[in-house]
Order: sequence, then structure tokens, then C-alpha cells
Amino acid sequence: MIWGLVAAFALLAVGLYGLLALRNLIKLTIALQLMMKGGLIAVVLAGDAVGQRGLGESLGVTLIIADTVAAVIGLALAVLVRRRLGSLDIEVVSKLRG
Amino acid sequence: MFNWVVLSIAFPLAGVLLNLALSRRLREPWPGVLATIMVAGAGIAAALTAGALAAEPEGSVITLGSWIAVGDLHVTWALRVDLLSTLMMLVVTLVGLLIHVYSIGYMRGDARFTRFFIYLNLFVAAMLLLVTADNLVVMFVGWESVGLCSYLLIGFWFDKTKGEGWRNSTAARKAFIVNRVGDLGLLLALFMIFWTFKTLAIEEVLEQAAHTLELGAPIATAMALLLLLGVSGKSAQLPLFLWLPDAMAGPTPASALIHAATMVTAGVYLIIRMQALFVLAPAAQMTAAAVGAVTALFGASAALAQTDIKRVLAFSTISQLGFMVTAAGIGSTSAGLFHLMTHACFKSLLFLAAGSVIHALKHHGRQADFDAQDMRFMGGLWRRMPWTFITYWAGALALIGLPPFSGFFSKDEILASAYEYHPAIFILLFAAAFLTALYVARQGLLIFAGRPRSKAAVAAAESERVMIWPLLILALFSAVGGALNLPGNGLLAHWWEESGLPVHEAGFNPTVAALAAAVALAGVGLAWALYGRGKADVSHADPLEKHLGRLFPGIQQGWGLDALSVKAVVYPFNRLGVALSRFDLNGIGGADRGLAHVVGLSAQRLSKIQTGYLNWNIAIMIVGIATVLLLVALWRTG
Amino acid sequence: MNAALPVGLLTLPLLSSPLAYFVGRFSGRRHGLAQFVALVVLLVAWAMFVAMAGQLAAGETPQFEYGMIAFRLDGLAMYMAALALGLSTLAVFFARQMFQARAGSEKYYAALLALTGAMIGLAGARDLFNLWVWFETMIAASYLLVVIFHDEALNLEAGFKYVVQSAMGSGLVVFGIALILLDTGTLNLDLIAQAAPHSAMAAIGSALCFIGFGVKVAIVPMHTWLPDVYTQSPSVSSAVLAGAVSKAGLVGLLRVTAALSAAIPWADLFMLFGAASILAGNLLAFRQRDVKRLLAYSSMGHLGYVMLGIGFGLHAGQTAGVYGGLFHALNHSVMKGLAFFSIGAALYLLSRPVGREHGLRLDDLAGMARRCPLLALALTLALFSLAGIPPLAGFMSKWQIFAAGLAANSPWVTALVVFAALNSVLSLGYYLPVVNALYREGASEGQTRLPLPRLMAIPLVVLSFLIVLLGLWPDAVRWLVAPASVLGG
Repeated sequence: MIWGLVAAFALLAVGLYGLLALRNLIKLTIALQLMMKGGLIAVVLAGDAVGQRGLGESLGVTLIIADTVAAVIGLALAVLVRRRLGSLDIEVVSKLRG
Repeated sequence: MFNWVVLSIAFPLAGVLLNLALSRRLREPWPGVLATIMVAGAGIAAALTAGALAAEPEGSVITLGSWIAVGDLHVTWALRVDLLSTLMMLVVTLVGLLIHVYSIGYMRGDARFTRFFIYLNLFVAAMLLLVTADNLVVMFVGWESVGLCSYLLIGFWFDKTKGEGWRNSTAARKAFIVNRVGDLGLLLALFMIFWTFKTLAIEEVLEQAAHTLELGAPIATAMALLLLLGVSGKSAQLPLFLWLPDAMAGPTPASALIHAATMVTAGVYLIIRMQALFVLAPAAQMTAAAVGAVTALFGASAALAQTDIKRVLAFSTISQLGFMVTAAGIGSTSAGLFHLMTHACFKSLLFLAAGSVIHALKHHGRQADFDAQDMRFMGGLWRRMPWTFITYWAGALALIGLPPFSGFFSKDEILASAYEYHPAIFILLFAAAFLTALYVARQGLLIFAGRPRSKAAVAAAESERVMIWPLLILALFSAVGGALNLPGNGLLAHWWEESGLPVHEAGFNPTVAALAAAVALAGVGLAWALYGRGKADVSHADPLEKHLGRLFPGIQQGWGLDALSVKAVVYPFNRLGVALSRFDLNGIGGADRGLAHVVGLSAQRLSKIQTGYLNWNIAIMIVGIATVLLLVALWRTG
Repeated sequence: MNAALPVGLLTLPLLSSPLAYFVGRFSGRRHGLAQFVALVVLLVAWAMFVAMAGQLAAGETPQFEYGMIAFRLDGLAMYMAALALGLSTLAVFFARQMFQARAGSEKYYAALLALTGAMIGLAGARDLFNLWVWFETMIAASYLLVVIFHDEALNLEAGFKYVVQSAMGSGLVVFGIALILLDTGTLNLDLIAQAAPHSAMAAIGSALCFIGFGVKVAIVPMHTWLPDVYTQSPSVSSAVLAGAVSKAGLVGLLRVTAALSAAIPWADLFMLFGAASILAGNLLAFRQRDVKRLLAYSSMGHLGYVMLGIGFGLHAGQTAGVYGGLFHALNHSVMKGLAFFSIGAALYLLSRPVGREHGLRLDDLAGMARRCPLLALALTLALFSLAGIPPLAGFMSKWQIFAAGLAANSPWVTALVVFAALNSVLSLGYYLPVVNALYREGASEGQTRLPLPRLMAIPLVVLSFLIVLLGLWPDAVRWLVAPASVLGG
């Protein structure tokens, strides 16, 4: 159980690191997914640990749907960026500042 | 059903909103008609309130809701219906209604016709709020709002050519600034009242004052004197009267409504409303009486030498307000209110008649140096403008105070009270009454008697009906308004006692009345002797000037007080400003600009955190997470 | 029978969202029909809201339970429902003229309805599971509001940042929920409140929720998406985001706060981050020449005041501060809604096509007062109220926050009040130039003499009226705000 939690937070850390360090929009979306999957493990484990498996799992299923929506929209925007600006580098979407 | 009072305020406000909303759709004269209907509605509501009051003379307070509630300070939107507020409402709506009707004719063709009526409606609403407020803060809101309307209307023609627009807006600014001095006094009084009584509800303040303060208590004197400063600003008393003559730059109907009949009497209303406080402070009463009486004499004397038709009336208003302040100050509240009401009728009548004359002349004035407001270009108008002539003189006789016109009765009550109070006050007022007769008769003769002294006066024709009807109605009221409080069985005095307001009446004094009538007649006779044949051309000196000699230009300048104030206040103030600005550059300016510099610099620095990079955004979010977790950890361990 | 109304209020906007889409897609009449459907749905929802407001005033709390879905419309939920319904109704009025029947704008009404339903669901949720699900639904619906038109690369940029940062916040909430579940064994807010957990695990969970919901509230330093999104979205969306969505984040946060009140020092966090948001929002707004960006930063500052007020209330354990905070949040919705609607109207008058909205400079507003006095007046009212000039709404609520802070009689809290008051004065420094620009002479570019359509004028008039009304009569919304400010009750 405790190792499961460690794994979840490890995924969170990897995801955050990815968001921090990656420059490709698609890769950023993947990093976000990693982080969300960490959350998935955490809720399912927590539900299991307190004897409410159904609760944890239904929360997990909902989470899968939700992060899929985020991934789809993120990827769709990435595709549009690529089409319009010809690049997936984060540099092209860093114009709004100040 | 005292709830009518709410409707009375709501009507003109609705007029403002409707005219704003429809400003693109309504064409002249419909915005004026709409505004007039709204004021008529307010008047009907006020009359219904009065009807309800007749059934329950002690009145009531209508609470609409709470406005501010912080600590001890509870300000509620509460309106007070009692005899005083209802009479004020009736005066405001009646005179307001007639002036609205008149304005439809007077403002015909003006580029900002709709805006004028929006201001007028807003003024009526604000004035009604002022006189009905049951809380000093709400009253202050009305007080400031009427000041705002006054400012807007004085400077209404701010865009006239040849520097005239500049003069108008300067006059507006002057009124605004001078009034701020008075408002400072009023605000300080409010602070002091709240400090002492922990409330600003008028009823509670007066009750607590009566129970907790002794006669002559310094705190009561201080409050009353500070209130008096506010009064002297709004009601144009010494030393803050300076703005009123200049305020005549506004359109004449606005002068009639705001600067003669209603707004300027707000100060008198305030003294009457806070009478219980003044009663506790004899020193403040004495000051009010002295200020009022001196102002009365001063205003009357300055009015003698004016050539501008409206400036005569402005100084006359200052003088008459002096009468009222004296009366209210020495405790003859019902006499003060009586004179307020009759004065509202006859002075607005005089203004409107003057407006009618100006209106008739200004379309024909083509000769150089012609001024449609200069009485030296008039004369002989009685034949050309008969209705204006008759109604003007009805008002004039009321102002002079000849029986049986209304002014005779109201002024006589004040004189009788002053006679009992102090001989010096009485003599000042008595002299003012004599000068009043002289200057009014002078004006009436200069305008209407003799032969026309300009081409414009020759060509002048009677004004249109929509302007004449209000004149006729006001003339009727000016003639018979005295019936409200005839000696012997005065209706007003009777109501006053019934309503439980503080009262101190002198009653009718036949000797004083006879003397006053005699002196008024003497004044008129003197005026006839001097001006009866209308020898006051621009090329001639004023007949009075021969007799007064070098005094004449002096009183023409308002005894030089205006110039003195420029020298004594404005000029040093400007010098101080220049000096301070120099100091500023070298002294505080450093610190001041330093602060601005710090803000600017930190803004610049901080805007760098918004780099636009998503990675960076995530990074500072992580910093946020770390900060929160660190704080939580610190809290749990410490 | 009692359940019908709350069920209706929750499901009607959600279920009719696809209806609005299909009607708009296939009717082809310039989306007038989609607008009409959305409007009818929202008006019916209003009717249900009013009926339930009556019940709430009578002391009943409308609620229902179905399996794992529990829904209760207590004071805070009704408050949020009013904001959500209010802003979306006005946005529906505004949207069609603004979008000028562009292809795809029917999606807007669908998204708006779904968003409204999600916000009501979020406000009524009784357990952390539902709370999060609705939160996620709300975020998903709001994506569409932001990137519905992507004519410019900059719109895509703002959209991408919004998606990533929102999803990150939502993920942190999930972690927080997992920890809280692990600690207390339940997700029911009432049961959690009874258990009053104060273990380290509950503390970390609460902290993660603070951050996660804080992304939507745009608390410093989770605010970085906000200026880009508010600037690049159509102004109608900015109004809804600033007026309702940010408040929904706050309501979510308050639910967690009430349930886990013993876990972490909420009062201190609220006050500290509130003060930081005020300062950062003000300073960042200070040098802005882009009006929408300026308003976005000012939103941050105002949410800071709200947080500060709630912090005062939590600190002293009395409702006055919370009341002030929530009252200010309501006023902020009115003021910022009005400001963004006015900007939208200005863009319309300047013939800037929707989707290319950025870069409305101060100078572009010159001469607006002559061109459309109503718009100038509305924007001026909104800005004066935001700056806290009496007697407008913004002043009254700021005053209540400050008064609650002073009543705490603690030197630190008093210092915060002074700090916030000084910031309020500082804010005039960037609001006044906008007003000045409005009334300056000068022909704005885009000389087409379009009049302002009547449907667009409606929100401006309604909100202007509210600003004046709430300034003169702040108790007019006491029935709504007072029940909401009893946290956890």
C-alpha cells in the first residue's frame, strides 16, 4: 500500500518535472497524463485501503474520462498550433507576456 | 399613508432616467413635457402626503432599508414626514412645476434642451431628499447633490463664445469651491454630533441633545456654529455669500428654482430642523441673528447699485435669506419658514419675469455693446409686455412688503420677533427693509417705466403663453400667500403648534407693522422721485450716484468684499500654491515621487514574472505548492 | 416532490446543452434559435431558483440523494447558483450580436449551458467525489468558452496554457482527495467535518486542495494563466470566467475549508495569499496599456480582497468577514461582468472581429463617450466601483471587509487592512486612465457608424443599475449572501 502511494507521488513528481522541462507541446500533454495517472493510482489505492473499493474505483474511472478530455483538447490545440505555426516548440506559444 | 413621500422622490428620478434613456428619441419639447409631468406627479404625491399629515399631525418616519452599518454607525434610508418637511416638499414641487413649464418656453431651441431638464429633475429629486431625510448622512447626500446640480446649471452655457463661456464655468467653479468651505463646517458638525451622541438620526440627536446637554454647553455651541458655517455657504450669508451673484450666469429658470426659491433656502431649513440644538446655544443664536441681519442690510445695499437685472435679484436674495436666517436663528422658526415660502413664490416670480424680459430683448439686440440683462437698455416695456409688467409688480410689491401682499405678513413677523430679541438686530433689518423697497422700485421703474432706451426695447414683444401662465399663477400666490398666516388666527402657526415643533412667536405687532409699511412706502416714493422719469441711460450717470457720490461704485462692487476676498484669500492661496510647489520639487516631492518611483519600478520588476513561458508558469506554481506546504509544516510544528 | 426542484435546476441546463447545439446546428437561422433555447432554459432555471429561494427562506434546504450523488442547495450553493445563472443569462443576451452569427457559435450556447449546470452541481455537492467531478466538468466546459474561436495563434497559446494549468490544478485536487480519503475513510463532507481530522496526511491533502482550487481562483502564484486567457477569450467568455467560474473555484475551496477546518491554518493562508494577490494584481495592472489585460490583473486583486475578507472571518471565527468577502465576490461579478461586457461592446463598435480581440489599447477607447454614451457610462461606473469610490457597490463591500478586519482588534490584521486600503487607493492609478481615455476627444479607428444593438445594451443597463443599487442599498442581497456566509453550517 505504502509503495503504491510512493509510486503515485513519484508519477506526480515525474509529471511535474516533465511540465517544467519539456518544450514539445505533445510531450507536455503526455507529462500531464503521467501526473493524472499518479492521481488515478492514489485514489484507487486509497479507496482500497479504507475498505471502500467501489468508491475509489468509480472515482478512478471518472478520472480516466476527465483526463482524456483534457488530453484530447490539449492535443487538438497542439495540432492546430502545428498547422498554423509550423512548429510544436513551446517557443511559438510564448508570446503573451508582461 | 405617508408612503407617498417615497413616490414623490421617485417621480423626478424616474424623469431623469426616462429622459436619459429616451434622449435620442424625444424631440423638443417632449423631454420638457416629460420632466414637467414627473414633477407634477411629485407634487401630487406631496399633496397626498400633506393630506395624510392633516389626519395625523405628528407625522411619521418611513424606513426604506439600511444603508451603512459599521460599528456604532447605522445609517438608514429613512424619510421623515412632518409639517416642516411636507411644507418644504410642497414649495419645492409647486415652484418646481411652474418653473419646469416656463422652461419649456425659455429653453426653446437650446442645443442641450434635454440635458437641462435632466438636471432640473435631478435637482428636484435631490432637494426632496434633502428636506425629507431623517438621517444627517442622507441629508448630506441631498445637500451635496443639490450642490452638484447647482454647479452643472451655473456652468450650463460653458461653451458660449467671446469668453462668456469661460466666465460661466468660472462662476460655476467659484460656487462649487465656496460651498465646499461651508460643507467642511457641516461635515465637522456631523462628525462632532456622531462623536457625542453615537447616532446621526435627526430625531435621536435632537432628543439626546435636549436631555443630555445643558443650556450653553460648549459642545452644543460648537456644533451649532459649525452648522452655521454650512448654512452660510449654502444660503449665501456672510462671509460665504460671494458665489451667489456670479451664479446668475446660469439660465434664468435655473436661477429662479435653485438660486432663489429652493436650494439656497436649504440652510434656513437646516437651522429650523436642528432648532433644538440652537436653542441650547444662545451664543450661536446671537451669531446667527447677527450674521443674518448684517447680510440682510449688506445685500439690500449692494442691490441698490446694480445695473444687471439678475444681479439685483441675486443681492436681493442674499438679503432676504438674511431675514430668514435671523428669524430661524433667534427661534422664530415658523416666521422663518413662512418667509421662506412666500419668498419662494415672489422671488421666483421676479426671476421668471426678468427672464421673460431678457428673453424678449436678446433676440433683437444687434447694436454693439448691447447687453440684454443691462437695465439701462430697457425702459418703457410696460406697454410692450403688459403681462410681464403686471406680474412683475405683483412680485415686487410682495418683496417690498406692502399690505396686503404676502411679503408684508411674513416680513412683519420677522421684524416683530427681532424687535423683541434685540434692538440692534431690529434696526439692521428695518434699514434693510427700507433699502429693499428702494431697490425693487428702482428696478421696476428702470425696466418698465419711461421710454425705451434701446432698439431692442423698442422691438420687444410679450413672451409666449407657456411662459406667461406660470407667471400669473406665481403672481396670484405672491398676492394672497399671506393668507397662510394672517395675524390673529394664523393657519401656519396653528399647524406648527399642533405638530409639536419647537415654537417661539412674537405675534403681530401693530406698531412695527405700521412702521414697516410706512418705510416701504417711503422707499417706493424715493425711487419714484429718482427714477420715475426713467433717466438712466448708459450715457448718463445713475441718479442715485449723484447723491451717494463715491459710495456708489463701492456698493456696486458689493462693498468690495469680492475684491477683498480675492486679495485676502485667493491671491495668498495662489502664492502659497506656488511656494508649496517649489518646496514640493525640492522637499516632499522627493519622497512623493520616490513612492511613485518605487511603485513603478516594482510593477516593472513584477511584470517580468509573466514571461509567457508555460514551463515558467508551472515552475512558479510549484513554488506556490512548496510555499503552502512549508507554511503548513511550520504551523504544525510551531 | 421536494426533490423535483433541485433535480430540475441541476439537470435542466446540462441536458438541454446538446439540444441548444443541435438546434443551432440544423436550424441555420443565424443561431437565433440556439440563443432562444438557451434563454428559455435559463429562464426556467431562474424560476426554479426563485421557488427554492422561497423554500430556503422558509427554513427548508432543498436537496436530493441518488446513489452516490448527493446534492444539497444550502446558502452557499444558492449563492453560487445565482452567480452562475446571472452571468450566463446576460452572456446569452450578449453573445449572438457579438459573434455576428459566425459558424460554430452555436457551440457557445451549449458550452455555456453545460458550464452553468456544472457550476450549480459543484456548489451543491455534498461529498468530495461529486465536488471534484463537477469541478472537472466545469473546467471541460470552460475550455470551449475560451478557444471557441482560434483565428489567432495567440488564442491557441492562451488556450493551451489554460488547459495544462487547469488540468494540473485538477490533478492536485485528486491527490488531495486521495489523501483525505485515506485519512478519514470517507468523502462525505459532513462526516469529514465531524471527524475533524488534523493528521499530517489530512494537512497535506488540504494544502493540495488549496492549491488545486486556487488555480481557478487565480491566487498568486497560480494566476499565470489568467491574464492570457481573459485577454484572448471573447469578452463574453471573460465576463463569465471572471464573474462565475473563478467564484466556483472559491466555493469548492470553501467547502474543503469548512470540512477540514482543523487541518491547516486556513485563516492565515487566506489572509496571506489574499494580500499577496492584491499586491501582485495591482502592480501588474499598473503598467498595462491593454485594457482587457488590465481588467484581468484587477480581477486577481479583487479575488485577493475576497480571500482577505474570508480570512478575517475565519481568523476571528465570526461571519462578518466571510459576509464581506462573499459580498465583495458578488459585487466583483457584477462589476467585472459589466466591465468585460462593455469592452465587448466597444470591440463590436470598433468592428474588431470576434476571435481577434487582443490589443484593445487605451487609446482605442478615445472618443467612445461621444460615440456611445451608454457604453462609456457603464464602463465608467464599473471602473469607479472597482476602484472603490463611494457610493457604488465596490465601496460598500470593501468597507465591510475592512470593518470586519478592524473589529478583530489584532495589530497584524489591522496592518493588513491598512495595506489593503492603501492598495485600493493605488488601484485608482490604473483605472482612471481608462476613464480618461473614454472621455477624451478623438475619433476612434473603425469609423463604421454601427449603433449598439439593443440586446447588447441589456446586460450593460442591468449591471449598471445593480452597481448603483447595491451601493445605495447593500442589504438588497443580504438574503442571498448571509446564508452563504455561515460556513460549514
